[in-house]
Amino acid sequence: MTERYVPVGWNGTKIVYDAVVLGVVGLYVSVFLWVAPSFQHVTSPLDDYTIRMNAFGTCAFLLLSLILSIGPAARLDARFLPLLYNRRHLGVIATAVAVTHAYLALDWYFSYGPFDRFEMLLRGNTSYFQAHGFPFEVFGIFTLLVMLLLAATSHDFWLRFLTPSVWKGLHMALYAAYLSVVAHISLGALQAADNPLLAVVTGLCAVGVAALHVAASRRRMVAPTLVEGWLDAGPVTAIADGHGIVVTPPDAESIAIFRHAGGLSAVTNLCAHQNGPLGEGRVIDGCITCPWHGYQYRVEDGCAPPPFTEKLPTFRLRILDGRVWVDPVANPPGTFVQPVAAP
Amino acid sequence: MKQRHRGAHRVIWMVLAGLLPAVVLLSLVLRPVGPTEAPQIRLAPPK
Repeated sequence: MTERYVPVGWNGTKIVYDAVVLGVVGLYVSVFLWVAPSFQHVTSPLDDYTIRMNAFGTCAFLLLSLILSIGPAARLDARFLPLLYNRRHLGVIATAVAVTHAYLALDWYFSYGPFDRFEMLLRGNTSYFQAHGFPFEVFGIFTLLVMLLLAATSHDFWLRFLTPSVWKGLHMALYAAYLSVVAHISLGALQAADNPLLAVVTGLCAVGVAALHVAASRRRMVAPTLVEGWLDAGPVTAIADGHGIVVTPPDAESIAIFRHAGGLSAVTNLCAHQNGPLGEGRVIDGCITCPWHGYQYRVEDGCAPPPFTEKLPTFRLRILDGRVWVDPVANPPGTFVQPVAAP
Repeated sequence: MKQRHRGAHRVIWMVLAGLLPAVVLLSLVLRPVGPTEAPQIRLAPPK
């Protein structure tokens, strides 16, 4: 959360996060280069260039699978939240690894044809109607273009410029890119692989990522009761001090209800930054803190503390017979609502 | 996440949950088995 745009808002946590990711990527590639030659089939030995290309390609795929798993994993279990804070850095690093893979492939497989290497890549193989020998590179190109676009627009400048809604929609293109990279591997490396390990890893990643997303989205499908214009948000005791719960009115955005300093307050569940799920965050220093990137808002009026200017819509609450009820009609952003005393 | 994004997200991943394993399985089924020659690659005619 910064007042002005800087290329990267570095802090200690981000430096450690990036250092760990770069260390893991370096370790993975080194181990791959060391181990892969011993897995070769005697009838089809791999050259050093291909092994290097495969090392970066598999690393990019695993990073992409990890990036897509972090969101639903954090929704299902809050212990994964620290991975979410700097997910954009992970995305940029994954893009750099994918570019390295693409460069190695282009340099090795397309540099010796009759045309320019890029022309060879696009025109060299036109066998679109057979699985074995299919020009699987087109799927890799699509994935790489999407990753480059998303990495280039990952900065908060683009988030503000495009608005969170459009930005979020644009970044959902990563789902299509993931399908495309699975097709790229399946019609490319899997067709020639002698070792079943690649098929097992690709299948497990694909199924695992999809299963996590489906499980996380099913968790939110319970609709609360609406009585005389008030929504039943459940028992007061279900809300722990410093934490929140989320209720979703029919055909409207979700509402986050927090308990802090003996009172209950409600704001929209959408963070003003990236529409992050505020209800999954915590109250820190009297402010609701978004679990995605740490944006903060005061519990009683939904305003970000000075010098920040973001404001959230607030909601009225009442407690009847030990249950919390929320008026789903939102107050204008930044409206003060006296917290309701909670037993 | 906004409600319409959440709805789109849910539908997309329901579809992908079927498509992703199908792509991997189909490509494994279509793999050539046994000793084979390299497939013919149709090259575009030179200019």
